[in-house]
Amino acid sequence: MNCQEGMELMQRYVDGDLNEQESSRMLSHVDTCPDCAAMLERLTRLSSELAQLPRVLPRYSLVDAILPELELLTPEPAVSRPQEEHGGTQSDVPGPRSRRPARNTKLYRRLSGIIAAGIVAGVILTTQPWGQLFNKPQQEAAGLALDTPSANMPSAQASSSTESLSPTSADGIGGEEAGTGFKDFSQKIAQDPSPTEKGTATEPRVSGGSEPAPAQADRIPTPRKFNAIGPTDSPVPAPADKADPSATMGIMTDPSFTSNSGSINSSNDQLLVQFASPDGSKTAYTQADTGAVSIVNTSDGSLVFQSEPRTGTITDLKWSDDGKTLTYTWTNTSGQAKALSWSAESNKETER
Amino acid sequence: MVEPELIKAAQAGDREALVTLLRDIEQQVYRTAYYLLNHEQDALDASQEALIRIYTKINSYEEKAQFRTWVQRIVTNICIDKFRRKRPSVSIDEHDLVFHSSADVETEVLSAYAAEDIREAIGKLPDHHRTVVVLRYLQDFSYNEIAESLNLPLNTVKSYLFRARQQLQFLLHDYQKGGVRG
Repeated sequence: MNCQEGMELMQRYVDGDLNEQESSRMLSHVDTCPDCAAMLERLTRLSSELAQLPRVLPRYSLVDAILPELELLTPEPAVSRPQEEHGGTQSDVPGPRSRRPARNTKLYRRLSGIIAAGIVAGVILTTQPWGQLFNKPQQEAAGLALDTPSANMPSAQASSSTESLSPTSADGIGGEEAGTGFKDFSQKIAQDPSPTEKGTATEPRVSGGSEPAPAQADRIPTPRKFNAIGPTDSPVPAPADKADPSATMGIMTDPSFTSNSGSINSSNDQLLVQFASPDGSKTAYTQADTGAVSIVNTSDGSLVFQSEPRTGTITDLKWSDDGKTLTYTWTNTSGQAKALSWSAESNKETER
Repeated sequence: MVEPELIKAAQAGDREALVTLLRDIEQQVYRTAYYLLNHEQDALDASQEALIRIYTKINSYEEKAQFRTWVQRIVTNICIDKFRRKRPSVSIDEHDLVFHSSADVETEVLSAYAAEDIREAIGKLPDHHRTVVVLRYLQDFSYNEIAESLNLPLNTVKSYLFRARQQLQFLLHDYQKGGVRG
């Protein structure tokens, strides 16, 4: 054995990589070679020093320090990647085996988690005693308001009635958002149109009242003008009141029918009706116990038109197909009815 | 050793498990960063970066490799990147030496160098040599584990390690003699 070979063995020796035979060969050589003996000693000493280097610790918890950032991050799903042949610094384990199924599974799992949460929240909400929030006048208005759009709706919609309640994005999400206010709710709908099944099969909210949830998939504006409604005003999903099929119309839920769909929100003491124009750019609002009509831009809730404050009720709200005209009937407290219309061009209300 | 169940749970989407996992490996991550970068603040920064990357990339870990080698790969990569644009290393000559000398310098092979001397010396090694030494001695990795972590052939790992030790000897031995580094 020469010294070079001896060196190699000694190196491996300090790593515990030699078998018995190799060890004894190496040690015999060292016995006969002072240079190598010195080298072995240095090597051994160095290795020992290195092994005794302090196991330093971070002076504060690193995970605690990054927790805020982790909150904002989600782990990436598994992806397949081609394996690099040559060495070099790859940041992750080279492994071409893809985990494609896992990727989709994770997304679906997450999605179903969201939906499940929405369903649960929705179920909880619909078991609340909403009944006390409604009284007769409101029901009438609700009934009237609902009847009107139904008459205008394409027939397919009416027939789709209870089923169409199912694929509403509003239900699950609305439930989820309950208590956070209508504004948040509507935004949520706009963002996450994932349909839920169960929201619709919920309990009857109100006997005979059946206030369908406003379920325009992505047309619900943020009614900043109507903050008075307050946080208790969450739109409860799904009427599911079999007693009043017209009330459970799919108008609320089928996104393609949001054009003339109306929706009803309840607040503690007011009933608000809203209708989005066919193109969704505007939304008309009336309040059940006033005869006033307001029209806002759906996108930002800015006010476009407001009629004079007056008493009475507004019914028969209807948008023209081009969204430029809104027609309705104002019935004053004496019972007189006037047919009115608002025109986008003039931004005025006139008698028809 | 990290529990395999914890890893599985973390990959299954259990966020709490993932955070616990990070806590379990936090120290080993820092330790490597510290010895690679030779600078506490840099090491703290690099470690956090590594932990975040481990968090986001957790699903790319595959069971074929050991978890700890995968973790070390991430932290070494980050450190090597960081390094490239880094501060110049301190020359050994400028360093304040602590001699534990004996009278006979010639026969005194190595005295007990202060750890920081060794650390400094490690810091003067080229990237790959340094990394191999750190994994070998601070993480107690075997040749194979080092190879897996750095994606290097086994022989290359040995070659780097052996060479690194020779260089370290030379650096430290020089100290001992009080010689000026050439």
